[in-house]
Amino acid sequence: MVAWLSDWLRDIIAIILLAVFVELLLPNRAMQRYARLVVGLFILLTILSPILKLIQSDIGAKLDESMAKWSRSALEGDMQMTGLNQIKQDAEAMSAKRSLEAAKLTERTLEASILSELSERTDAPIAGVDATLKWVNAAGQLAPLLSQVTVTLKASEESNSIALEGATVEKVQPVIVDVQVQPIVPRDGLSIEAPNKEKRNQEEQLGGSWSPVDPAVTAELSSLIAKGWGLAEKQITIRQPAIQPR
Amino acid sequence: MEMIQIVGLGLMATVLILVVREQKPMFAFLLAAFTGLFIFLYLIGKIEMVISVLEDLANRSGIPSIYLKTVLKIIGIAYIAEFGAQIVRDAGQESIASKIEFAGKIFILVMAVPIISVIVETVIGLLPDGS
Repeated sequence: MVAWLSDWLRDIIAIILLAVFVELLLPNRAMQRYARLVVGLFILLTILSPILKLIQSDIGAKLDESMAKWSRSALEGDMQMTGLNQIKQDAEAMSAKRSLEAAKLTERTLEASILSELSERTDAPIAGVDATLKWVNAAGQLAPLLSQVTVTLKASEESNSIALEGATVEKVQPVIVDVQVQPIVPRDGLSIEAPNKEKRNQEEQLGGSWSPVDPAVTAELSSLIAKGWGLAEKQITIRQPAIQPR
Repeated sequence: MEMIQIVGLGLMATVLILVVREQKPMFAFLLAAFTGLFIFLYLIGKIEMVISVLEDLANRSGIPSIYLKTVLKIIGIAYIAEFGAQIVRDAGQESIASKIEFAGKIFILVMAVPIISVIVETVIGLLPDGS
Protein backbone atom coordinates (compact mmCIF):
# COMPACT_ATOMS: atom_id res chain seq x y z
CA MET A 1 0.00 0.00 0.00
CA VAL A 2 2.74 2.42 0.98
CA ALA A 3 4.79 1.47 -2.07
CA TRP A 4 1.82 2.07 -4.32
CA LEU A 5 1.16 5.45 -2.65
CA SER A 6 4.79 6.50 -3.03
CA ASP A 7 4.70 5.49 -6.70
CA TRP A 8 1.64 7.57 -7.25
CA LEU A 9 3.13 10.58 -5.44
CA ARG A 10 6.36 10.26 -7.39
CA ASP A 11 4.42 10.27 -10.64
CA ILE A 12 2.55 13.40 -9.66
CA ILE A 13 5.69 15.21 -8.57
CA ALA A 14 7.49 14.25 -11.76
CA ILE A 15 4.69 15.42 -13.99
CA ILE A 16 4.40 18.71 -12.13
CA LEU A 17 8.14 19.26 -12.51
CA LEU A 18 7.75 18.51 -16.19
CA ALA A 19 4.95 21.04 -16.40
CA VAL A 20 7.11 23.71 -14.77
CA PHE A 21 9.93 23.02 -17.20
CA VAL A 22 7.58 23.23 -20.12
CA GLU A 23 6.22 26.55 -18.95
CA LEU A 24 9.77 27.85 -18.72
CA LEU A 25 10.64 26.61 -22.17
CA LEU A 26 7.65 28.04 -23.94
CA PRO A 27 8.48 31.11 -26.00
CA ASN A 28 5.63 33.45 -25.18
CA ARG A 29 2.51 34.05 -23.14
CA ALA A 30 0.10 33.33 -25.93
CA MET A 31 1.27 29.77 -26.34
CA GLN A 32 1.53 29.24 -22.60
CA ARG A 33 -2.19 29.06 -22.08
CA TYR A 34 -2.60 26.33 -24.64
CA ALA A 35 0.36 24.33 -23.43
CA ARG A 36 -0.92 24.72 -19.90
CA LEU A 37 -4.19 23.14 -20.94
CA VAL A 38 -2.49 20.05 -22.32
CA VAL A 39 -0.11 19.70 -19.41
CA GLY A 40 -3.00 20.24 -17.03
CA LEU A 41 -4.80 17.36 -18.68
CA PHE A 42 -1.74 15.20 -18.17
CA ILE A 43 -1.61 16.11 -14.49
CA LEU A 44 -5.29 15.33 -14.20
CA LEU A 45 -4.74 11.92 -15.76
CA THR A 46 -1.88 11.20 -13.42
CA ILE A 47 -3.79 12.21 -10.36
CA LEU A 48 -6.81 10.22 -11.43
CA SER A 49 -4.79 7.19 -12.42
CA PRO A 50 -5.61 5.12 -9.26
CA ILE A 51 -9.31 5.61 -9.79
CA LEU A 52 -8.95 4.94 -13.48
CA LYS A 53 -7.08 1.76 -12.69
CA LEU A 54 -9.85 0.66 -10.38
CA ILE A 55 -12.49 1.16 -13.02
CA GLN A 56 -10.76 0.45 -16.25
CA SER A 57 -7.99 -1.95 -16.83
CA ASP A 58 -5.36 -0.08 -18.78
CA ILE A 59 -5.57 3.63 -19.34
CA GLY A 60 -2.00 3.93 -20.62
CA ALA A 61 -2.58 1.48 -23.45
CA LYS A 62 -5.73 3.29 -24.42
CA LEU A 63 -3.94 6.60 -24.50
CA ASP A 64 -1.12 5.08 -26.51
CA GLU A 65 -3.58 3.68 -28.96
CA SER A 66 -5.45 6.90 -29.48
CA MET A 67 -2.20 8.83 -29.79
CA ALA A 68 -0.97 6.37 -32.36
CA LYS A 69 -4.24 6.73 -34.22
CA TRP A 70 -3.89 10.48 -34.13
CA SER A 71 -0.32 10.49 -35.34
CA ARG A 72 -1.25 8.01 -38.04
CA SER A 73 -3.92 10.36 -39.29
CA ALA A 74 -1.39 13.17 -39.12
CA LEU A 75 1.00 11.06 -41.15
CA GLU A 76 -1.69 10.40 -43.69
CA GLY A 77 -1.96 14.13 -44.09
CA ASP A 78 1.69 14.09 -45.04
CA MET A 79 1.20 11.39 -47.62
CA GLN A 80 1.15 13.95 -50.40
CA MET A 81 4.69 14.82 -49.44
CA THR A 82 5.97 11.26 -49.26
CA GLY A 83 4.08 10.40 -52.42
CA LEU A 84 6.95 11.88 -54.37
CA ASN A 85 8.75 8.55 -54.29
CA GLN A 86 5.67 6.85 -55.64
CA ILE A 87 5.48 9.40 -58.41
CA LYS A 88 9.12 8.83 -59.27
CA GLN A 89 8.64 5.07 -59.38
CA ASP A 90 5.63 5.48 -61.62
CA ALA A 91 7.58 7.79 -63.86
CA GLU A 92 10.42 5.29 -64.10
CA ALA A 93 8.08 2.45 -64.94
CA MET A 94 6.32 4.55 -67.55
CA SER A 95 9.53 5.73 -69.14
CA ALA A 96 10.83 2.15 -69.23
CA LYS A 97 7.64 1.08 -70.97
CA ARG A 98 7.87 3.98 -73.36
CA SER A 99 11.48 3.24 -74.24
CA LEU A 100 10.54 -0.39 -74.81
CA GLU A 101 7.85 0.72 -77.24
CA ALA A 102 10.32 3.06 -78.87
CA ALA A 103 12.81 0.22 -79.20
CA LYS A 104 10.20 -1.97 -80.84
CA LEU A 105 9.34 0.81 -83.24
CA THR A 106 13.02 1.39 -83.95
CA GLU A 107 13.47 -2.31 -84.66
CA ARG A 108 10.59 -2.36 -87.07
CA THR A 109 11.77 0.77 -88.85
CA LEU A 110 15.31 -0.55 -89.06
CA GLU A 111 14.12 -3.86 -90.44
CA ALA A 112 12.02 -2.13 -93.05
CA SER A 113 14.83 0.20 -94.07
CA ILE A 114 17.39 -2.60 -94.26
CA LEU A 115 14.99 -4.67 -96.30
CA SER A 116 14.26 -1.89 -98.76
CA GLU A 117 17.93 -0.96 -99.00
CA LEU A 118 19.01 -4.53 -99.66
CA SER A 119 16.32 -5.25 -102.19
CA GLU A 120 17.19 -2.01 -103.95
CA ARG A 121 20.92 -2.51 -104.07
CA THR A 122 21.06 -6.25 -104.64
CA ASP A 123 18.94 -8.76 -106.42
CA ALA A 124 19.16 -11.34 -103.66
CA PRO A 125 15.79 -12.90 -102.87
CA ILE A 126 15.17 -11.60 -99.37
CA ALA A 127 12.29 -12.97 -97.37
CA GLY A 128 12.73 -10.96 -94.23
CA VAL A 129 15.07 -9.01 -92.00
CA ASP A 130 15.18 -9.37 -88.26
CA ALA A 131 16.99 -6.70 -86.29
CA THR A 132 17.74 -7.07 -82.59
CA LEU A 133 18.45 -4.09 -80.39
CA LYS A 134 20.64 -4.25 -77.34
CA TRP A 135 20.52 -1.75 -74.49
CA VAL A 136 23.83 -0.19 -73.66
CA ASN A 137 24.65 2.23 -70.89
CA ALA A 138 25.76 5.42 -72.58
CA ALA A 139 26.39 8.52 -70.45
CA GLY A 140 24.28 7.26 -67.59
CA GLN A 141 21.29 6.46 -69.77
CA LEU A 142 20.28 3.28 -71.48
CA ALA A 143 20.45 3.69 -75.21
CA PRO A 144 19.46 1.14 -77.81
CA LEU A 145 22.21 -0.21 -80.04
CA LEU A 146 21.77 -2.40 -83.08
CA SER A 147 23.39 -5.64 -82.04
CA GLN A 148 22.27 -8.32 -84.42
CA VAL A 149 20.82 -8.40 -87.91
CA THR A 150 19.51 -11.62 -89.37
CA VAL A 151 18.65 -11.67 -93.05
CA THR A 152 16.50 -14.53 -94.20
CA LEU A 153 16.70 -15.34 -97.87
CA LYS A 154 13.97 -16.94 -99.84
CA ALA A 155 14.46 -20.60 -100.46
CA SER A 156 15.29 -20.47 -104.11
CA GLU A 157 15.56 -23.18 -106.72
CA GLU A 158 19.12 -22.16 -107.42
CA SER A 159 20.37 -22.50 -103.91
CA ASN A 160 18.46 -25.67 -103.53
CA SER A 161 20.25 -27.09 -106.51
CA ILE A 162 23.57 -25.97 -105.00
CA ALA A 163 22.70 -27.62 -101.77
CA LEU A 164 21.69 -30.85 -103.39
CA GLU A 165 24.49 -30.89 -105.91
CA GLY A 166 26.12 -34.01 -104.52
CA ALA A 167 22.92 -35.96 -104.22
CA THR A 168 21.35 -38.01 -106.97
CA VAL A 169 18.61 -36.27 -108.83
CA GLU A 170 15.29 -37.78 -108.06
CA LYS A 171 11.78 -37.25 -109.19
CA VAL A 172 10.54 -33.82 -108.26
CA GLN A 173 8.78 -33.95 -104.96
CA PRO A 174 6.19 -31.58 -103.69
CA VAL A 175 8.11 -29.04 -101.63
CA ILE A 176 7.19 -27.20 -98.54
CA VAL A 177 8.92 -24.17 -97.08
CA ASP A 178 9.47 -24.50 -93.40
CA VAL A 179 8.69 -21.14 -91.87
CA GLN A 180 9.00 -22.14 -88.28
CA VAL A 181 11.51 -20.22 -86.18
CA GLN A 182 14.62 -22.31 -85.98
CA PRO A 183 17.86 -21.79 -84.10
CA ILE A 184 20.03 -19.46 -86.08
CA VAL A 185 23.15 -20.96 -87.56
CA PRO A 186 25.77 -18.24 -87.76
CA ARG A 187 27.36 -17.52 -91.09
CA ASP A 188 30.80 -18.53 -89.85
CA GLY A 189 29.51 -21.90 -88.92
CA LEU A 190 27.96 -22.27 -92.33
CA SER A 191 31.13 -21.42 -94.16
CA ILE A 192 33.04 -23.94 -92.09
CA GLU A 193 30.54 -26.65 -92.82
CA ALA A 194 30.14 -25.75 -96.47
CA PRO A 195 33.00 -27.93 -97.81
CA ASN A 196 31.57 -31.24 -96.71
CA LYS A 197 28.33 -30.97 -98.52
CA GLU A 198 27.36 -34.57 -98.18
CA LYS A 199 27.30 -34.31 -94.42
CA ARG A 200 25.34 -31.13 -94.78
CA ASN A 201 22.83 -32.84 -97.01
CA GLN A 202 22.42 -35.63 -94.56
CA GLU A 203 21.79 -33.13 -91.88
CA GLU A 204 19.20 -31.43 -94.00
CA GLN A 205 17.46 -34.65 -94.71
CA LEU A 206 17.46 -35.38 -91.00
CA GLY A 207 15.60 -32.15 -90.36
CA GLY A 208 18.12 -29.27 -90.48
CA SER A 209 16.23 -26.53 -92.21
CA TRP A 210 18.87 -23.95 -93.14
CA SER A 211 20.71 -24.51 -96.35
CA PRO A 212 24.13 -22.98 -97.03
CA VAL A 213 23.95 -19.59 -98.64
CA ASP A 214 25.93 -18.62 -101.66
CA PRO A 215 29.09 -16.98 -100.20
CA ALA A 216 29.04 -14.19 -102.76
CA VAL A 217 25.51 -13.21 -101.88
CA THR A 218 26.36 -13.42 -98.19
CA ALA A 219 29.42 -11.23 -98.58
CA GLU A 220 27.52 -8.70 -100.61
CA LEU A 221 24.64 -8.49 -98.19
CA SER A 222 26.77 -8.34 -95.08
CA SER A 223 29.09 -5.71 -96.47
CA LEU A 224 26.09 -3.61 -97.43
CA ILE A 225 24.58 -3.90 -93.97
CA ALA A 226 27.92 -3.38 -92.27
CA LYS A 227 28.58 -0.26 -94.29
CA GLY A 228 25.11 1.18 -94.01
CA TRP A 229 24.39 0.52 -90.35
CA GLY A 230 27.83 0.31 -88.79
CA LEU A 231 27.75 -3.29 -87.71
CA ALA A 232 30.57 -5.77 -87.41
CA GLU A 233 30.37 -8.63 -89.88
CA LYS A 234 29.94 -11.19 -87.17
CA GLN A 235 26.80 -9.43 -85.98
CA ILE A 236 25.13 -10.15 -89.29
CA THR A 237 23.57 -13.48 -90.02
CA ILE A 238 22.46 -14.47 -93.48
CA ARG A 239 20.41 -17.60 -93.66
CA GLN A 240 18.24 -19.41 -96.10
CA PRO A 241 15.62 -21.99 -95.35
CA ALA A 242 16.33 -25.27 -97.04
CA ILE A 243 13.79 -26.99 -99.17
CA GLN A 244 13.14 -30.26 -97.54
CA PRO A 245 12.22 -33.26 -99.64
CA ARG A 246 9.42 -35.11 -98.11
CA MET B 1 31.00 34.06 -23.36
CA GLU B 2 28.39 32.71 -25.69
CA MET B 3 25.90 35.18 -24.35
CA ILE B 4 28.24 38.04 -25.24
CA GLN B 5 28.66 36.61 -28.72
CA ILE B 6 24.95 36.44 -29.28
CA VAL B 7 24.36 39.92 -27.92
CA GLY B 8 27.22 41.21 -30.08
CA LEU B 9 25.75 39.57 -33.14
CA GLY B 10 22.37 41.05 -32.34
CA LEU B 11 23.75 44.55 -31.82
CA MET B 12 25.79 44.39 -35.02
CA ALA B 13 22.84 43.17 -37.00
CA THR B 14 20.68 45.93 -35.52
CA VAL B 15 23.14 48.67 -36.44
CA LEU B 16 23.55 47.28 -39.94
CA ILE B 17 19.83 47.01 -40.38
CA LEU B 18 19.36 50.60 -39.26
CA VAL B 19 21.96 51.72 -41.78
CA VAL B 20 20.63 49.66 -44.65
CA ARG B 21 16.97 50.25 -44.02
CA GLU B 22 17.10 53.78 -45.40
CA GLN B 23 18.46 52.58 -48.72
CA LYS B 24 17.11 49.10 -49.18
CA PRO B 25 14.37 47.93 -46.85
CA MET B 26 14.45 44.53 -48.54
CA PHE B 27 18.01 43.84 -47.46
CA ALA B 28 17.27 45.05 -43.98
CA PHE B 29 14.53 42.45 -43.75
CA LEU B 30 16.78 39.70 -45.09
CA LEU B 31 19.47 40.62 -42.60
CA ALA B 32 16.99 40.52 -39.76
CA ALA B 33 15.62 37.17 -40.88
CA PHE B 34 19.07 35.67 -41.23
CA THR B 35 20.20 36.90 -37.84
CA GLY B 36 17.11 35.51 -36.24
CA LEU B 37 17.58 32.18 -37.99
CA PHE B 38 21.20 31.98 -36.93
CA ILE B 39 20.49 32.65 -33.28
CA PHE B 40 17.56 30.26 -33.35
CA LEU B 41 19.58 27.41 -34.82
CA TYR B 42 22.44 28.16 -32.47
CA LEU B 43 20.15 27.88 -29.47
CA ILE B 44 18.40 24.74 -30.69
CA GLY B 45 21.52 22.82 -29.74
CA LYS B 46 21.39 24.27 -26.25
CA ILE B 47 17.74 23.41 -25.83
CA GLU B 48 18.72 19.81 -26.46
CA MET B 49 20.39 19.72 -23.04
CA VAL B 50 17.24 20.83 -21.31
CA ILE B 51 15.25 18.26 -23.24
CA SER B 52 17.65 15.50 -22.22
CA VAL B 53 17.14 16.53 -18.57
CA LEU B 54 13.41 16.27 -19.12
CA GLU B 55 13.78 12.83 -20.67
CA ASP B 56 15.88 11.70 -17.75
CA LEU B 57 13.26 12.94 -15.34
CA ALA B 58 10.52 11.15 -17.22
CA ASN B 59 12.49 7.93 -17.35
CA ARG B 60 13.30 7.92 -13.67
CA SER B 61 9.73 8.46 -12.61
CA GLY B 62 7.07 6.29 -14.10
CA ILE B 63 5.63 8.88 -16.45
CA PRO B 64 4.40 7.25 -19.64
CA SER B 65 6.63 8.18 -22.55
CA ILE B 66 3.63 9.36 -24.51
CA TYR B 67 3.27 12.29 -22.10
CA LEU B 68 6.79 13.47 -22.67
CA LYS B 69 6.50 13.03 -26.42
CA THR B 70 3.38 15.16 -26.53
CA VAL B 71 4.90 17.82 -24.33
CA LEU B 72 8.01 18.01 -26.49
CA LYS B 73 5.89 18.27 -29.60
CA ILE B 74 4.03 21.15 -28.02
CA ILE B 75 7.26 22.95 -27.21
CA GLY B 76 8.50 22.45 -30.75
CA ILE B 77 5.32 23.70 -32.32
CA ALA B 78 5.31 26.72 -30.05
CA TYR B 79 8.89 27.63 -30.89
CA ILE B 80 8.56 27.20 -34.63
CA ALA B 81 5.29 29.12 -34.79
CA GLU B 82 6.72 31.90 -32.65
CA PHE B 83 9.86 32.16 -34.73
CA GLY B 84 8.05 32.29 -38.03
CA ALA B 85 5.56 34.79 -36.71
CA GLN B 86 8.33 37.07 -35.49
CA ILE B 87 10.09 37.09 -38.82
CA VAL B 88 6.88 37.89 -40.62
CA ARG B 89 6.08 40.56 -38.07
CA ASP B 90 9.45 42.15 -38.68
CA ALA B 91 8.51 42.51 -42.30
CA GLY B 92 5.46 44.43 -41.19
CA GLN B 93 2.84 41.78 -41.92
CA GLU B 94 1.17 41.71 -38.57
CA SER B 95 -1.92 39.90 -39.81
CA ILE B 96 0.00 37.01 -41.33
CA ALA B 97 2.07 36.73 -38.17
CA SER B 98 -1.04 36.40 -36.08
CA LYS B 99 -2.33 33.72 -38.47
CA ILE B 100 0.86 31.74 -37.98
CA GLU B 101 0.48 32.00 -34.24
CA PHE B 102 -3.12 30.91 -34.59
CA ALA B 103 -2.01 27.85 -36.54
CA GLY B 104 0.45 27.01 -33.77
CA LYS B 105 -2.28 27.26 -31.16
CA ILE B 106 -4.57 25.05 -33.20
CA PHE B 107 -1.90 22.40 -33.55
CA ILE B 108 -1.23 22.44 -29.84
CA LEU B 109 -4.93 22.01 -29.18
CA VAL B 110 -5.07 19.14 -31.65
CA MET B 111 -2.40 17.47 -29.51
CA ALA B 112 -4.83 17.58 -26.62
CA VAL B 113 -7.58 15.79 -28.56
CA PRO B 114 -6.50 12.21 -27.74
CA ILE B 115 -6.08 13.03 -24.07
CA ILE B 116 -9.43 14.71 -23.87
CA SER B 117 -11.10 11.82 -25.64
CA VAL B 118 -9.57 9.34 -23.20
CA ILE B 119 -10.70 11.41 -20.23
CA VAL B 120 -14.19 11.80 -21.61
CA GLU B 121 -14.46 8.08 -22.28
CA THR B 122 -13.32 7.31 -18.76
CA VAL B 123 -15.72 9.75 -17.20
CA ILE B 124 -18.57 8.30 -19.22
CA GLY B 125 -17.47 4.86 -18.05
CA LEU B 126 -17.53 6.12 -14.46
CA LEU B 127 -21.16 7.11 -14.71
CA PRO B 128 -23.59 4.41 -13.66
CA ASP B 129 -25.53 2.80 -16.47
CA GLY B 130 -28.81 4.48 -15.58
CA SER B 131 -31.46 4.33 -18.23
